[in-house]
Amino acid sequence: MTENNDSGPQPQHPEHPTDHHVAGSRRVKRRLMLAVVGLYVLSLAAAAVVAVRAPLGKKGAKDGDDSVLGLTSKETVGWVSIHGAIYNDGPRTWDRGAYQWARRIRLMAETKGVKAIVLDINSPGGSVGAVQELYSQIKRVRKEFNIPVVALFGDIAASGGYYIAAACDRIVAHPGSLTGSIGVIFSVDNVEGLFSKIGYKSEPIKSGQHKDIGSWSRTMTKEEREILQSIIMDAYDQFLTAISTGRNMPMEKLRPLADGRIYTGNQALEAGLVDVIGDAEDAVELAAKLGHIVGKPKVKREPDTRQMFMDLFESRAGAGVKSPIEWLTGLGVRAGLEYRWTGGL
Amino acid sequence: MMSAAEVVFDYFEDHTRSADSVRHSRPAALGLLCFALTGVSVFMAQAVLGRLAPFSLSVTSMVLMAIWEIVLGLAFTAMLHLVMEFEGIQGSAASLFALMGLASLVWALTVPLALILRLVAPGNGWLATAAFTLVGLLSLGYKARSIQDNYQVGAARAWITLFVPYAAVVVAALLVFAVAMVTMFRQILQWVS
Repeated sequence: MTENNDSGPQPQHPEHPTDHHVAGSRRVKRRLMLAVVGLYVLSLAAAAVVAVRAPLGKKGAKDGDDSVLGLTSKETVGWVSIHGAIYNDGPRTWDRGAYQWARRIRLMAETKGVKAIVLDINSPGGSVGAVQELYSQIKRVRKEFNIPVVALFGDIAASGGYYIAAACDRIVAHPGSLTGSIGVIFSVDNVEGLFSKIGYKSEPIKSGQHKDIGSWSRTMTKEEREILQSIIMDAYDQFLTAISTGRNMPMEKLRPLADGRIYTGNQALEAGLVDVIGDAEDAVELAAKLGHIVGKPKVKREPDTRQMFMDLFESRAGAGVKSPIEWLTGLGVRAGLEYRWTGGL
Repeated sequence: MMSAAEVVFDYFEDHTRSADSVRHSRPAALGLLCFALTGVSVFMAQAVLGRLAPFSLSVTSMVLMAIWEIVLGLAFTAMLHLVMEFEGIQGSAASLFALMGLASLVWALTVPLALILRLVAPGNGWLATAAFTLVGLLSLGYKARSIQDNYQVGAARAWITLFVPYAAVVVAALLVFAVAMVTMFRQILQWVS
């Protein structure tokens, strides 16, 4: 092959392309890639719209309830459970009691698609502060999110359990649910006799006469009893006011019912303390109706992942064995003012 | 110097040329981008098909998926490179990472595929699984070819090397399962006694 030094066009050879050919090839590649990238971006955008606007469920149903952390755009009824005694902390270090429940109610109200909430209550009540915290949070959530809340009574929703239910729009109870016990209790034990037997004597140094009010190492004085009684009556009045305003019930009708007695669901219905006798499904349907949900409502149960993890951790670490202190706190051996039905304990 | 677009184009059209270019420029950033796009694509495809659980449809979850894909890509590349080094075969790990990223770009196909499946057969889990499996196999094929191109080895050796990380994961999972089972039985025996 002879070398050609002419200024004319170079011969085209696949292994030695000219600059012009390379530039052309690059242009074509870039355009093609641009087209592919454009199509990809378009498909991504379409996918985003489809996924957000019309999410598919696990088996093709149009709802996202199956996702643990899932969002759902379908109108649903949120389900929050309040089980156990109500305190601002629990027997276990990670329990946050009333604050935790209040947070869960708020989170449920904030969840997209949740139009009503069922509050599944199975509680004998608890400390005054914790119960009032929940009561006011329920009222606040109802007002802030304009969302109806329906209380469903399980085995028991007495005292503080009933107090928080009074903040809800409606109350559904089983015919045999135990409720009522409207009242306040301040348990003061006196172990003076026991202490004298074992030779133990307590001598508190006080800044004021009543600083050791409620002391269990001596008999309560008449004056102390009057002070505690006035506190109890004040808290009792707060209880009555909460029920009266929450359930729109006149005080004169409520007061005779609020002598501390417990009622079955049926008796409570007759007394006007609950609205409907029914079960979980009835509560969901009522909540859906109040939330203007058309058709059969879906229920969204929000698991407390932190709680679940800690429970799992506890079961792994201690296999569910509780210490005596935990048993005592679980039974409710606590000091202070309580909206709680002790069940004779 | 070839642009990133050309490298991607050549990877699917003229792989030897692309591998040559990657060997010289070692575009690790392109690899990162490819892995991130893979994560985003798989996430969106899963979202369209309603198979996102336990993730939620949120930007955070999508970013997490992209990061996960990048980390997985890095670990996968590192393991492959280590195997090759043990075998005494020389090659660049950075180039391999970029080529692996390009191979995983095939997963971008799942987005239009998911849209089509959603349109044609909504809620058909088997079809979706089949489509994802096909794309996965395609990606594996490209990965094997990338190993061939990067280390200049034969197809058989490339495929065997490619399966080492997967085999390692399976063995690790089996080990964890075995340990879990032994612990569980010991716990049960303790409870019984």
